[in-house]
Amino acid sequence: MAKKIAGYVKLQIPAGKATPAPPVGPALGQHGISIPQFVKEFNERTAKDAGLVIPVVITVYADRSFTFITKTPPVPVLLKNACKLNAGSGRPNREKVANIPMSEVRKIAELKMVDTNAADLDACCRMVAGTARSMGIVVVDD
Amino acid sequence: MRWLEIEFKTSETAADAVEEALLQDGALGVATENPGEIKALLSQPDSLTFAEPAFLESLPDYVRIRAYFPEDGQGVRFGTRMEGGETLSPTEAYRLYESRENRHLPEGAFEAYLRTRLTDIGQYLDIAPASLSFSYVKEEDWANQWRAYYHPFSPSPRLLVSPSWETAAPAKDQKLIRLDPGSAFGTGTHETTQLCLAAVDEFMPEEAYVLDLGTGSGILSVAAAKLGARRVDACDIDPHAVEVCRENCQLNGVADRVHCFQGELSGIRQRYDFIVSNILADVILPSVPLYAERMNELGLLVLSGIIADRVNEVKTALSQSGFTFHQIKEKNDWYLLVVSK
Repeated sequence: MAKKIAGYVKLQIPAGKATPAPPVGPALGQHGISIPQFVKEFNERTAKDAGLVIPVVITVYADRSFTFITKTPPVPVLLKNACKLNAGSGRPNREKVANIPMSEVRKIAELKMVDTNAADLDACCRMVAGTARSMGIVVVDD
Repeated sequence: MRWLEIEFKTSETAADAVEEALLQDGALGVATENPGEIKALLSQPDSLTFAEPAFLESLPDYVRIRAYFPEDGQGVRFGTRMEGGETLSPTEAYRLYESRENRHLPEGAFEAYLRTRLTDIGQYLDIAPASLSFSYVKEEDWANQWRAYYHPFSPSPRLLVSPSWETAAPAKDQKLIRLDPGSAFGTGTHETTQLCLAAVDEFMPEEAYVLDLGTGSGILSVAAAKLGARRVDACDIDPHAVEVCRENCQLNGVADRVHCFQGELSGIRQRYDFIVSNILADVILPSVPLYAERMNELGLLVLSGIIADRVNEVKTALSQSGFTFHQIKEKNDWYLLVVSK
């Protein structure tokens, strides 16, 4: 059917464990989406990844129906995986937690190009490298 | 229970890093509105979604990120482990953060702490406009907010559509359709759905063999079955819609007469007394000759989902294929056409 878009929001919530608590409730309630319906469907469809925080993009249509799709992990998650880290640094300018070669940064940028609006791969690499540095990960030449 | 809602406005470049910092600091989750992603979605060639120019113009030129932290009288709780609340300066908050222990922070200290985090990110990424605002939200604010959009309504003399939490009393000759809003098109609140429900009520012959093409939530199939169709084939290209359609047929006790399946018009071989197709002008136009092939001699075809500026194109295509017009109805720029061969 003619699906006129009325809103669009990306949530990062734990797979299989969504509840009507924030951010789900406030983000969906304002668009008139049935919160219990979303929680039920999201948990059913993401049960196999339970515990992981995954990005889910919800599109709201003019008649208050909605669709949602799960997206590739965000850049920081890919960086943490590449560096085998549990968490980034809370003080990135002073406390460095890992090194990452530029070739890895490029790989992540290539993966991310599909759902970013970066003008080209170089711009996407700069975004990934900047995100790495903001987490206390040092980008090194190969 | 209330939650501290923190709203950041930032650039698309810095959005991932800001979200990560918030999640790492124990936000319960983050909600992000990125106008760039909406535009990317709409520009996909196979997109069945469209937006009004006014909606596109209303989009901001920044990314809005909202994060939520529980607040319980002792301060803002960040992290997963809850301990006694003490008053901390931003420096102490930092130390606490570094020790990876999670406690309470008074709001002021928490704000100062987050501002420092943002400044840190700003050293590596362009975070403009980087505005930060705080507010509190309570469960009452949203728990029933969405329900306010749904009430029982009667789209035609013999039909009453109601969400399950409302007590709707159908009049003597009315059929009740139970439908909770969900993730498939057709909650009954859209003009095209309402026009179709009225057309099913007015034009569908008793005991008809019906095809509901692009069934979505299945609302039109349920209506047809309740109004006396002998059998309804409910078809959609989206497998998820097919599941939702099945559930709604069960909820309404018509699962025995409605056959829900994934497919499209070109794959259907049967002929029908009544076809209802609430799709889009772009999908309808190339299929006009196919509709004719799938209709019985006296069959009726209901086409909807046609926006005002495409209606003449659809009418011309139908005339050229020899269709006769029985009804042309409009509601807020959406058109419905009832035709026969």
